[in-house]
Amino acid sequence: MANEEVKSKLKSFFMSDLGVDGDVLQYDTALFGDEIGLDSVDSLEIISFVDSTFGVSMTGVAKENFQSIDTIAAYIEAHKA
Amino acid sequence: MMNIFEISEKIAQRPPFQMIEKVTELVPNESATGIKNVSVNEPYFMGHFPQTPIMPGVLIVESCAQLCSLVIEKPAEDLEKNLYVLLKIDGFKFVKPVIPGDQLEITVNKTKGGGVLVGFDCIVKVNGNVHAKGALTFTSIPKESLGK
Repeated sequence: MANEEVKSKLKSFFMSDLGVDGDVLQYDTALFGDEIGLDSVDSLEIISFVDSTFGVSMTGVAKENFQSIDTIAAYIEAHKA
Repeated sequence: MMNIFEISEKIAQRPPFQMIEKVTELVPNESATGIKNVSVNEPYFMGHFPQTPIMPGVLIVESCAQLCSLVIEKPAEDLEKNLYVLLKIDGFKFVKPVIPGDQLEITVNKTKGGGVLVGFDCIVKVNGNVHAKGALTFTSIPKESLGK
């Protein structure tokens, strides 16, 4: 799966499941900062989505990997089977 | 099928906070249907509301959550270390009031699971009519992390 496709799926998930406004969500936007404002419950939703969609477990992974769609996609690319 | 004694072996809640009294159908880790009989003697009706007893919506949600907890089956070593807790309540609607004398027939169906989250769709009926519906999501937390 191309990296762009991973990012696109992640963005669609953030918009449809977590209610993030697609107009302000870029691939490098800080997900847990003031602009988007996701919380720890959302992080569990992200882990569940990544696990079920890409087969990559992010349980216990350092929070730096959750900073943006770019960093999550990079982690997926580096760890998918 | 589970009676009140079998339910009490599976869940920790006790009266007046035991919100499932019978399970009529159970598919472990998939779905269940359970019964909650609503009596005028329940203590919350004293204040909710005087002269107009209506079952609080949060307790209808709790009834659904307790039935979900009966559906979730995990290995004993998992349950020794971890506690499954309610994480999210999504889109709950209380379509019609629940009053004393009503028998809640609650059905829960798992929508996601296997990872860090376990999700259920819940429907609460009285006499075949939908009175409440919504979705609940659970996660597990290490017991040793409680209060820290």
